[in-house]
Amino acid sequence: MQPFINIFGRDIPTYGLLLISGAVIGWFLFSFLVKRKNLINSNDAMFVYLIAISGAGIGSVTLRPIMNIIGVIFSWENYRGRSIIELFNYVTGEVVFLGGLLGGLIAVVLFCRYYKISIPIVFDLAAPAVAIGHSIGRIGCLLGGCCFGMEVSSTHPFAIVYPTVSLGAPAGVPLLAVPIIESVFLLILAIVLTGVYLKSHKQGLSATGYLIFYPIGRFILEFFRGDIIRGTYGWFTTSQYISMGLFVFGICYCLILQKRKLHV
Amino acid sequence: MNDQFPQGMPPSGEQPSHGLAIASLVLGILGGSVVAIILAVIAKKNGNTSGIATAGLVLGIIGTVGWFLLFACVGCVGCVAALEGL
Repeated sequence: MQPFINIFGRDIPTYGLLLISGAVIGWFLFSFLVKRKNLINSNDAMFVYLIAISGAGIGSVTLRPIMNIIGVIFSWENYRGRSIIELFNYVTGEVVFLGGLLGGLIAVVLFCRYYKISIPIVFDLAAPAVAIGHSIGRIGCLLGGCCFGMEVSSTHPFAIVYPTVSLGAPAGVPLLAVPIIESVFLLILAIVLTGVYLKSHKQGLSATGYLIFYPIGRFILEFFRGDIIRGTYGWFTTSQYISMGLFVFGICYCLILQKRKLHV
Repeated sequence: MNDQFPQGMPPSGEQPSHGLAIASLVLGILGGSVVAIILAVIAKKNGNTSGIATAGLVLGIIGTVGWFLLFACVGCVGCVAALEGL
C-alpha cells in the first residue's frame, strides 16, 4: 500500500516509522501507568523500558535467522550447492515481533533480577504498553505489505487489495485484512489491560492477561495468514509454536505468582 | 541513587562504571546501536551521572532509531527475494 514514505527526499520504510511510533506511544502509556501507582522508581522504569526495547531490537532481528539456520541444517539436501552469499541472504533479514517480544522478555528479566527490581510489577506495567505498541506496529505491516492475509473473495467484508507496490503481498488480489484485525485486537487488549492495571489491587493480572490472550489471538489469526513463506513446521507455523510457548509461560507465571502469594 | 556512595560521588571523583560509559559513547559515535543503549543504562543504574553516559545513551537511541528507519523491511524484501531465488 505505502511501503515507503518520502521525507526530505529520502524513502523511509513506513514499517520502521510505525515501529518507532509504537515504541514511543508505548513509552508514554508505560510512564503514565508508572506515575499513577508509583510502584516503581521512575528512573528504574526508564532504564527497564530502554533495556526492553534494546532486547526487543536484538531479538526481532535474530529469531528469523535462528529459525532459518535450523531449517537449513535439517533440510541441507535442499540447499547443497548454494553459494555462501545466497545462504546468507536467505538466513538473515526480516524483523519479527515475536522475536522482539522474547528478546525484550529475556533482557528485562535479566536486568530486573540483577538490580533486584520487582519483575511482576514491571510485567504488569509493560503488558498494556507492549500491546499498544504492537497494535501501531501492525499498521506498519499493513502499509508495507510484508505481512498479509490469505486470499479471499472480492466481496469479503474484510478484504483488502494491495496495489502493485508492496513488499510481499501479491498485487491486485483480495486478501483478508489480517494486519488490521490484529491491530484492532491488540488495541482492545491494550485498553482492557490498562483498565485492569489501574482498577485491580492484585499483582499479575495485567501481565497474565497479555500472556494468555495475545497468544490465543495470534494462534488463531495465523491460520488466516497468506504469507506462509515465513516458516511452517509440521502442522503449525513458527509463530503458532511460539504462541503456544507464550501461553504455557503465561499459565506457569500465573501459578508461580499464586504459589508465592504475589498474587493473581 | 548510588547505593555504594550515598553522597553520589566516590571520594576519588571518578564516576562509577566509567568504562561502560565511555564504551557506550564510543559505540554511539560509531553509529549507535542497542549495545550503546544497554551499556549506558547499566552505567547510569550503577550511579554514573556523567554526561558521557547520557551522550552514549542519546547517540545509541538515535542510531538505533535510524537503523530501524533505514533497514526495517528492507530485510523483509531481501528475505523474500532470496527465497524466490532459491
